[in-house]
Amino acid sequence: MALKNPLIVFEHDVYALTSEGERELRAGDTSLSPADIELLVRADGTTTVAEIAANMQSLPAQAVLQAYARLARSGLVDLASNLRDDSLDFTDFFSEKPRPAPSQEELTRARAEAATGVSALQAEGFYVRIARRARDPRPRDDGRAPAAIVVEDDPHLGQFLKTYLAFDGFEVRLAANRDAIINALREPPLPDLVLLDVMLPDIDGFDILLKMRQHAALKTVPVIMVTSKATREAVLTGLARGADGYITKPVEPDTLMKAIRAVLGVKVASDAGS
Amino acid sequence: MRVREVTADEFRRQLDLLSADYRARLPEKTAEIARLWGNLVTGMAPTTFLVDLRRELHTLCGSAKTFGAGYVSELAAAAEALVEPICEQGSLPGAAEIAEMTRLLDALQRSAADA
Repeated sequence: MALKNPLIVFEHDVYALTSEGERELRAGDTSLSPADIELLVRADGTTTVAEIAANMQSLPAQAVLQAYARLARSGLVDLASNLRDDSLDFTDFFSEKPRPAPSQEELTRARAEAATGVSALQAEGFYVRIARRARDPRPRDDGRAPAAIVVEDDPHLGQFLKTYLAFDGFEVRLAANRDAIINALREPPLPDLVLLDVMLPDIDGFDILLKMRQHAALKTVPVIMVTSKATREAVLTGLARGADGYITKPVEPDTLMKAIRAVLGVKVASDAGS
Repeated sequence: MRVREVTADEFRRQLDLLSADYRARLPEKTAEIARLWGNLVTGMAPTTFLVDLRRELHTLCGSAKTFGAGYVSELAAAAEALVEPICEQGSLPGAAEIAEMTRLLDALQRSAADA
C-alpha cells in the first residue's frame, strides 16, 4: 500500500488499521509491544490521535504521535482517509443493529458545542461545526461536479434547495423518504454532501445520520442538518451523532451556502446572481 | 471549475415560480391539516394520527417563511407547539386546548388564503 503521509503524524489525524494491521492483531505470535497493540486497537478510523493519546495511560502524547508514525511506516495503520471504502452496498443500511452509544468524549464535546451552538442559533439563526473533514476534503480529481443529496419531505422546499445547489454547480439527488434515501445513496458517485431534514414520514433524520456514521463508505461524508428543530437537545443529538453542521429552518440561502462552504472546506461557488 | 447551466435570470425565475406554486397550494395544505384535526376531535381518526398532524404542521412551519408566507410559518409553529405535548401523551386534550387549536387552524387557513 502506498502511504501518502507516513512520516509526520498530527494530533488531529485519524488512523485506521490496514489489512496488514488487522492480520498482525489476529496473529498469535505478534512481536509488537503491549503499547503498540493498544494503539492498533484504538486506531478505529474515527478517533483522532489526540483523543487516543488522552486516553493512553502508558504513553505520553508525544510518544503516541511517534508510535503512530512508526506503525504507519510499518504499514500497520494508515490515515483513515486513505483507506476509505467506497463500497455502495447498502443492504444492511437500515437494519436494526444495536446502536453503539456515543463515547464520553463525543458526548462531552457535543454538549459544549450544543450549549454554545444554541446561543449562536438564537443570535445568528444557524450553527456550523467545522469538522476535521473540512481540513481533508474528499479529493475529486475526475472533473465531475460535486454530488449532493437533499433529504427533505416538503417537495417545494426540496426543489428550492436543489435549485440553489444546482446553480452552485452541484449534481443534486432529492429524497423524501426511506426508500428514496437508499436509492439516492446507491446511485454513484458517493455524495460529497448531504443536507438532512429530521422529521420525515417514515424515518428520523437523526437515525439516518447515525447509520451513515456507521457505514464504511459514508462515515466521512459531510452532513448538514437542515431542520426546524432548534432546541438544545436536538442540536446535541445532531452533533453527538456526527453532524458537521446544523441549520435551522426557515432556510436562508446565504446562510446555507456559507455552511456548505465551511463543511466542505472549499469555496464551491460565488453568490447566487453574481 | 464548473459551468453554470442556467443564467442568474433563469435561476431567479425558477425560484419565483416555485414560490408562486407553493403559495397557491397553501390553502389546500392548511385545509388538509384542519380536516385531519377535525377528524381527530370527532373521533373519526385514531389518535395515532396526531403524529401525522404534528409532522404536517412541522413541515409547514419549516417551509412557509422560505416562500414568503412568514405569518403562516408562525401560526404553524404555534399549532405545532400546542400539538407536541398532546402527541406525546397520545390522547386528545381538554376543551380549552381544543378551542385554542381550532382558533389557530382557522387563522392558519385565512393566512394561507391571503399568502
